[in-house]
Amino acid sequence: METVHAAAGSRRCGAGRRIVTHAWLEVGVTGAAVAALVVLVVLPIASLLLGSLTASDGLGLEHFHRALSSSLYLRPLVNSLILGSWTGLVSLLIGLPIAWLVARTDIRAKGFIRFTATMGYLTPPFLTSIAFANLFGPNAGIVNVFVRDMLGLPWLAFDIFSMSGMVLVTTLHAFPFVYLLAVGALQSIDASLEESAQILGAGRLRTALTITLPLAAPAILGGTLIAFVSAIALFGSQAIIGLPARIFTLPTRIYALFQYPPQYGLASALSLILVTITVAALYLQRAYLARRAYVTLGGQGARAHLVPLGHWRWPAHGFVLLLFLVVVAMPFATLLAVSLSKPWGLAFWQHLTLANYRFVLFEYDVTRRAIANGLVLAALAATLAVLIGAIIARIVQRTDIPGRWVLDYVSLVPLGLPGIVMAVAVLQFWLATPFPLYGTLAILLLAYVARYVPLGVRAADVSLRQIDPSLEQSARTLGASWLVTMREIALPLMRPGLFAGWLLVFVPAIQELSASILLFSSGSITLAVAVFNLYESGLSEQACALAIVNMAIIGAAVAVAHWISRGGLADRMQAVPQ
Amino acid sequence: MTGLAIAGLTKRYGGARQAAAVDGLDLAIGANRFVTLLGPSGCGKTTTLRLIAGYLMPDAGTIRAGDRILSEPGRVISPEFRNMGMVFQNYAVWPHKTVFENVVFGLTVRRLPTDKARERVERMLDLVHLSGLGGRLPGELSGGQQQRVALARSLVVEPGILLLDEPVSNLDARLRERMRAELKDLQRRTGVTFVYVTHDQAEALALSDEIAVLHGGRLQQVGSPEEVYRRPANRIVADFMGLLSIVPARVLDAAAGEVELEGGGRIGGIGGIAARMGDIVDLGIRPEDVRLRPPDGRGIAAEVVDRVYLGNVADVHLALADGRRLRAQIHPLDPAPVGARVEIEIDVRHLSVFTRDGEGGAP
Ligand SMILES: Nc1ncnc2c1ncn2[C@@H]1O[C@H](COP(=O)(O)OP(=O)(O)OP(=O)(O)O)[C@@H](O)[C@H]1O
Ligand SMILES: [Mg+2]
Repeated sequence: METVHAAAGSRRCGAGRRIVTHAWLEVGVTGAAVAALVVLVVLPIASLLLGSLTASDGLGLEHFHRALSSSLYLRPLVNSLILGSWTGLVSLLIGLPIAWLVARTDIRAKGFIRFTATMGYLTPPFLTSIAFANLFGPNAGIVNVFVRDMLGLPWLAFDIFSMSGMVLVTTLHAFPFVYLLAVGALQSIDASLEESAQILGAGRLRTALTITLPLAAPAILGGTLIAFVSAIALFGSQAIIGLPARIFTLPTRIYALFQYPPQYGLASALSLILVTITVAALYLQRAYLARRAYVTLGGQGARAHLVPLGHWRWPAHGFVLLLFLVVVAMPFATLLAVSLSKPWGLAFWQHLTLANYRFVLFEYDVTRRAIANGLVLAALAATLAVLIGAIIARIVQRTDIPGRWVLDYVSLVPLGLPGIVMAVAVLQFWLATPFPLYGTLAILLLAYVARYVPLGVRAADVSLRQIDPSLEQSARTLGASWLVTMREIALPLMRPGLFAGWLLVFVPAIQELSASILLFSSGSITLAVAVFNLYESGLSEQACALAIVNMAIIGAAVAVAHWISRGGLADRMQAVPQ
Repeated sequence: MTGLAIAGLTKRYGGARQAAAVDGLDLAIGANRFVTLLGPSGCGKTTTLRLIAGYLMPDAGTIRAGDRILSEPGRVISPEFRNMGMVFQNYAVWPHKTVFENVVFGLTVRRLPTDKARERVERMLDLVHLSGLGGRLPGELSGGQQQRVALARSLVVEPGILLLDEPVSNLDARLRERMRAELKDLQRRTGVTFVYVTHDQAEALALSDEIAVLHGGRLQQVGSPEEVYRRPANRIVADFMGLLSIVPARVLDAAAGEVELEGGGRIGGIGGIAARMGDIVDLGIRPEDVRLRPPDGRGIAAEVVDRVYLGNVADVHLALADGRRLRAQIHPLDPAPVGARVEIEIDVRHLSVFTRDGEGGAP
């Protein structure tokens, strides 16, 4: 390439200069993305590390020592591990059977199962928690009131404010990870691998145990680990379900450390302990399991023979329907019902009212600010995360800059950082700078972009992989500059994938709670925080009304995006989380 | 060993209105034979093989081994009870098991004592030239080696019948040649009945005791390689078995087998033709049966319109007097430049004659 440029330059000075200018542009764009990654991810994490090691007399392990010696902090650590493990296990028990039903049987309800799993993943767990608290609260939860007072069967009552309650609510959000990875693995196993075992004399069960299961196991375990990680990282459900039960977990304990005189050092140490767990689990998933995953995309790859369910389809349908009821119908119906009732209770339907909506929409002055903040923050965060992600994915895939794998790795680190940890890190870093960012929208934006950069990178990565490098090379060969190649070839081809990535960031960003809860001020309050605050101040009905407004906004955003992309969105979005 | 009798076998994918993938197939597969199912892509070869293996249920017809019915509509003996082996086109070697574990699988299922199983696996790996590679994972093997693992895995259980679905089509040309020779050799030494699927007529001719030509789900002809090549039952078979030029001709003498080409020129000595005097028939002429010589007024006049050098032969395109095309293969050093006027002579021993009522026939 060098010699070609030189030759062109010597023949036509003008052309030569232009190439130089655009080379600088390319370097500039690349440099900006790298700098952004450093400021967003590397420096905050570094100051988190530093903060945790800053003792009263210089550097020391004082905070870690305290964190690991007092039951005040050890107990939350154990609780987090218990919550993660149980959620992982139950997610496996739910996700694997439905994955098998979709991938390997002739069940009709496949679209329905997919929908249920997608809704479980998209519904913010703190909303599910609020809904279940209204159903299964020990005193006022209407299901409990019903079985205790109407049926007279108090032993049937279920106290949601317990570890089992927390596992239940978290699983509804986490099982789709197992489902998605397992279904992908089961569908990609070439049928001939199983048929070979069969013709050698192995029956169905033996084939399943010796061929299918070992082949799919890495992906299934990987999904279980991701469920584990996302379970222990969630703040909202642990606060709403755990705190009334006095079950502290690492995220809620870290949150509490910011309540009185904030204890940054200890919070940083606890954050790092939390990060160690999540990063270890994710590392195991990526480095070990993902590599053991045998991708068997045979050329003539025959699809697996679908097992006819016969009469077993009735229990299967029952299971799927139950899942839908618990994951989708119950939370949404409850939120709606609570938001429409004067006082929530067994006889709520006798006093239906729109007063709660009038309150949150017209009287509660926080609402409009929260909606505006939420929309602006989510849109900006999605745009920036996808932009940075696209540049980084390009550098990693399409250049030979030495050390580019470091970029790839750094851009994935936030996956292992629970939102509240990201907030602690961002706070630590920016409070130490002269910029007065505390309490502004800017600091929320910085935390959001940092949190969601991995999704942007993944989305860009997936769509880049589908574009053959020769498409760009042929444009360059025809004399197009880097800028023209980007504008005419690369960006238009990547646009659908990047758009899916944008939405994939926008939807969780607009309901972000774990990081926002530490970073907001009354001026920069977001929707999710407003719902949480209303609920915490005992205004359950109003909180539910605002939650419904929140869901309506998300639904509208997804519908608009779906309409713009004319349908192809769901497939693309499915490809990204893995 | 085992033979198979297939009668009226029919399979439709996706309902009765769909065209049948296999349509009324009758075929006897003799024990210890090497039988090839040959046909173009989509003609139903794989479907037939999968019906034989028991992965599919037929919509009509039966498959029998002796007096035991293996498959009939509504009742199919499951593949694990058929004592067959199958080598898939993509080999389907289990990626999570070592070569040894792959091969020993069928013996473990059959509850063979460990030391005995080990001995048989070693012997089989030796037979397919893989001794010493037992500890490797399939990812560390070449395509040809994986293919031999698949073979060893199927053969070690001593199946009555081995089904092979285009087993060498993923290999490069040289390796393919070598594996063909090894397959033939294995079949002779083990005495297992082979049912082999391919779309490559040269492969079928080289390997088989018997070839069954399929087209559009229907059986067109069964016979030895020579029969199928020399006496194709119809135009489809003739066309599929090699390059073929179709030239119309008028019957002069059906019994003696004498015809006149439409553009002029006589061919005699073909033998009995199933048509009457004056009927128009189509001659199927293979390029290797056409000889060129300088014009002397006695042969059939033609002009060289194109000539393609193929290394071992030269492919010559000829135009007859009425403009019809005919292809010939000549020695690459023989002179016949484009534009040359020549006369042709046709070796009638391979000539196929097809009457216009659709019925095929060799002389
Ligand atoms: N699972 C299936 N569902 C529906 N149609 C099928 C299925 N499998 C094969 N077919 C159809 O049945 C016909 C025969 O297919 P088959 O796979 O037997 O062909 P083949 O001779 O093996 O072809 P090839 O040489 O390409 O492998 C084809 O028209 C094909 O499209
Ligand atoms: Mg086939």
